Amino acid sequence: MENNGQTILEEKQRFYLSEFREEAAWLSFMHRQGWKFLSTTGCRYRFEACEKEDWVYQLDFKEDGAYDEDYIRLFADYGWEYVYQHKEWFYFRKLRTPSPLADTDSDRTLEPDLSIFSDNQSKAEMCKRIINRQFLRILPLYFFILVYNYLIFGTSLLDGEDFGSGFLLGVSMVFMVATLISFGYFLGQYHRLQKIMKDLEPPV
Amino acid sequence: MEEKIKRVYIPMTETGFYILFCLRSENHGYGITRQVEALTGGEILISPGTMYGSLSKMEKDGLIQFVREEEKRKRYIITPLGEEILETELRRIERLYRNSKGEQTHGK
Repeated sequence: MENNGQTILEEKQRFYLSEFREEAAWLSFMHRQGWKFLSTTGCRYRFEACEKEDWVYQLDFKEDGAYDEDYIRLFADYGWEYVYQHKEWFYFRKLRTPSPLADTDSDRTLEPDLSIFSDNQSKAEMCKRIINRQFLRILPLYFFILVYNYLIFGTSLLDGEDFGSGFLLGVSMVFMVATLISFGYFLGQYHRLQKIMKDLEPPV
Repeated sequence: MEEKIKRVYIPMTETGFYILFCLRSENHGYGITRQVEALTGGEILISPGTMYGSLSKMEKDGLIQFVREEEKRKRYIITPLGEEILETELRRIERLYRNSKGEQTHGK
């Protein structure tokens, strides 16, 4: 796709909440292939053709989801370029400049300033923020379903045998299935984030 | 409330300790990282995500307070509660050090 003389690429890709590290690695991979990350909707990613360069990408989860100048400035002070914000997720990147002491790839990944988190506690804190936010997000939905089902089953709304009550019952069923699916999704992600946090805990 | 905060902050993480220690004089996030880098001979490098999270949390819990913004950088300084926690933590670290050198702690 051509856009103002620049080549734009759109890729569909789905990452779960707990896959922020995989997402960052994929964006770095794309940049090394000559595709610079522009924006995302959560499942579609836009890239612009660029030089094939080794940029490190990192995602931060900012609980209030607010774009604050001092927040962006702080990351810029450390050499992190702010790229994009999608909901609570902030995307940063930094050009990897090989240290003269590091010869191999494994040495290079150990460079401490190539992560936006320098200790395990703060990595675990980010997982906690994701869990809290996600939990708060689904809470109103559950509350709504609870009240709705109470009205349908706990009151006399269903007494009549007409079309209206059949419809209400159908809607209730759809809601319940949707709830089960979203709750299953939440539990799955909760479990994976807990696993990441557990791996970050000191062994004793 | 303050008692609870004292309990959860001690023992402190290395990052938390250095940030609080540096904020005995006013500073901003990146300035603290540079100061810690100098203090530890480059052994401890605090990254921005870690710094932002720590400063937000310590400000919320009243260990440090926001002073002013300069060139979009938020500057903070330690509060009396922060000083109290730092003092307790310093005593703990000194005990660890003395014990590790084979000395026994007397008193209390």
